[in-house]
Amino acid sequence: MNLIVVGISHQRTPVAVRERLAFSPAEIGPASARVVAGRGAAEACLLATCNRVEVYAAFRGDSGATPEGETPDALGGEADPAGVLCDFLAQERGVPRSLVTGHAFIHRGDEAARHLFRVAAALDSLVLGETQVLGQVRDALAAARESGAAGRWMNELFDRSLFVARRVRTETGLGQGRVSVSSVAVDFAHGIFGDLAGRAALIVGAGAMGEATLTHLVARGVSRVVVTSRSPEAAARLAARFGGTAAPFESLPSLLAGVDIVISQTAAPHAVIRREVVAPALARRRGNPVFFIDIAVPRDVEESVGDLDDVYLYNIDDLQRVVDRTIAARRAELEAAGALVDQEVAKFSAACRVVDADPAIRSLISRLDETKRAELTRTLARLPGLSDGQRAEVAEFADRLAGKFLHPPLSHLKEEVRNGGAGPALWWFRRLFGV
Amino acid sequence: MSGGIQTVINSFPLVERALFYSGGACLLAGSIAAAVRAFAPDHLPPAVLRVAAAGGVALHGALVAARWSAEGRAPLIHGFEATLLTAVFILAVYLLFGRRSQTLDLGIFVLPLAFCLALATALLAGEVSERDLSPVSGAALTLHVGTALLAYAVLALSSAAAALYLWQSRLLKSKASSAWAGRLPPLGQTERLIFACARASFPLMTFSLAVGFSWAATAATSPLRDWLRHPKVISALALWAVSLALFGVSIRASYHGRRLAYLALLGFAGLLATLLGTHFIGAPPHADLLRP
Repeated sequence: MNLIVVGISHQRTPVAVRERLAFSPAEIGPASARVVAGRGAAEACLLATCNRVEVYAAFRGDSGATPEGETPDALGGEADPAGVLCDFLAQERGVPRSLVTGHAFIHRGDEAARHLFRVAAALDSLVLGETQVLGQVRDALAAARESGAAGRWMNELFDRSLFVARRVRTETGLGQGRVSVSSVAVDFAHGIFGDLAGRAALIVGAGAMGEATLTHLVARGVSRVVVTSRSPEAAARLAARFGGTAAPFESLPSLLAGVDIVISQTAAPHAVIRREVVAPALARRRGNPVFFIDIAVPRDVEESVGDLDDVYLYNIDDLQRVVDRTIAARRAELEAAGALVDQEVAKFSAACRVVDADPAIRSLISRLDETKRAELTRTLARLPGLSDGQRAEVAEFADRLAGKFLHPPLSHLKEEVRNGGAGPALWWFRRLFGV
Repeated sequence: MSGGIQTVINSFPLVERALFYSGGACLLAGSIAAAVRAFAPDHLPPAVLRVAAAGGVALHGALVAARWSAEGRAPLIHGFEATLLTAVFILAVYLLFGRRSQTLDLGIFVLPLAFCLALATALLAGEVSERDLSPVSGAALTLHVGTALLAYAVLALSSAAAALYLWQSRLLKSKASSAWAGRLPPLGQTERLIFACARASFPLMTFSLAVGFSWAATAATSPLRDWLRHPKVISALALWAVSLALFGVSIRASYHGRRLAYLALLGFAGLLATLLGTHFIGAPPHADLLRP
């Protein structure tokens, strides 16, 4: 079986091209089916995310060479499966073939499997170790199964990729820590308050990152949102989006006493939240902690505010430092993750060779079974005086004999196939047993 | 200390001595594990602390039960007995609350404390004289001391939670990279544990003092004004006042954060003074009260 993947990804394809080749989730299943129905593939599965579009396909025949980093510039004739898949992508999206061949990568055989394993384990992702792609791989397989495009090969390949991803997450530190400023801020909020349900957040100023942080906080249970800004319209708009209330900017000192989390991102050239404003608010909070997330540059919250008891102040640099540490830690795990992928590619490769040998093995088992039944029927017909127990004993004897006869050649064949000697071993197997 | 152990603990039957020393060894191992966990959390899971605490409770709990059976009275009247039982209660309360609030790392403070109390038991046992061992018992006294020790244990746990709170607070404020980052329970969760301990310890303490005063009023041979001035009684009343303050704060939720943690630590200071400190400035009161 010839396993191949042709695709484009963020690694070498700009977004302007990626968006022209994009598939929506609803298109994945039918498109996979069209690879099988119209392009001669035995099985196929399309993986489409915002960062990649990849067509995995299994064609009948030998898998051929697997040159590293092969590109469609070196495609063989039109019968080459890689060329077939490039044509498929171009025609499906209505773009010139040259657009696909100019950006696509090709991997064959073990390299195709290695690529998918790396994708599923988020080693090939824009954000190293992210988890979203795992769900997308799972969904792609489900869609291909549903459309009838995925069979034994795709199931084996994609199921194993999910297994590899789980191994990488649990056996390396690649999945640990947070890699966005807003999610780090939410982690700190959890470290202070625990459950965020029922907590109140105040957002000072309106900026994209502040809004993203607030979105995370609301998703984690923050139930009351107050927005204040020098622009009342912007405050009202943001408050409406989160079901919160807008308050005049001048009321900031009084607002501080009633909230647990303050996200500040104004464009002010100087600090807008000063120690002399925060200290009286704290006195009214009776020791309840306040978490200040200052993501403005220049900073909005005076540095000395962080020295106050029960105040936890993090600015953009503090949060970014945590993100950088996480990314560095994840990079340090790349080698270990790569080794795991290598192990699993070797196992997959061995399993594929066994699958290749499977029809011959099944043919032998089936033939022996037929012979056994025929001989058993004839023998039992010649022995009419046997009781039911004795007849069962004879049948069991035939089963045991057949099993013991088959076991050594089958186990040796599988062993040979796993170790890469499939060709000669299978040839001899077929010659000897006439299958 | 060794002389002390010879005079009292070594007079115990072999099984009881074995229980005392093996329980102590378990707590020592737990204390070492706590230190390892504190400095290298990656190398030791918190469940090890729970196992050590469970071992301490089982072995020293069995010793208390054996003493009770052998002497026909609750072994909690004399200083060394009370100290040992307090250690057992602290570990038991830790296992109960620590499991419920997922704060097993409280063991970092609780296990060394329990080990120190086991050591104090050996020290106090060494100073017990024949006179001190005179039989003092009775249901009221057992109830009084038993509930007091349980209240002490709950207060000790709230102090451990306070220490954990201050540690986490400091980590969050420092922003430094630490092996503990993200491992300690959130401040809010630890605070709820302190509140829960405050709500449990005050009723126990109040009940214990009420029973104790009622017992002393009827059984004591010394005048009321004399035993009211006893250091142990005074320190117990001071501890009750701290416990009352914690209870009030927990009911009204009127204080939070570091101030609450400091108040809980004040309770621990009062606990040490009541349980051990008075021993060094005056004799335990219960036997004294019955002496002519």
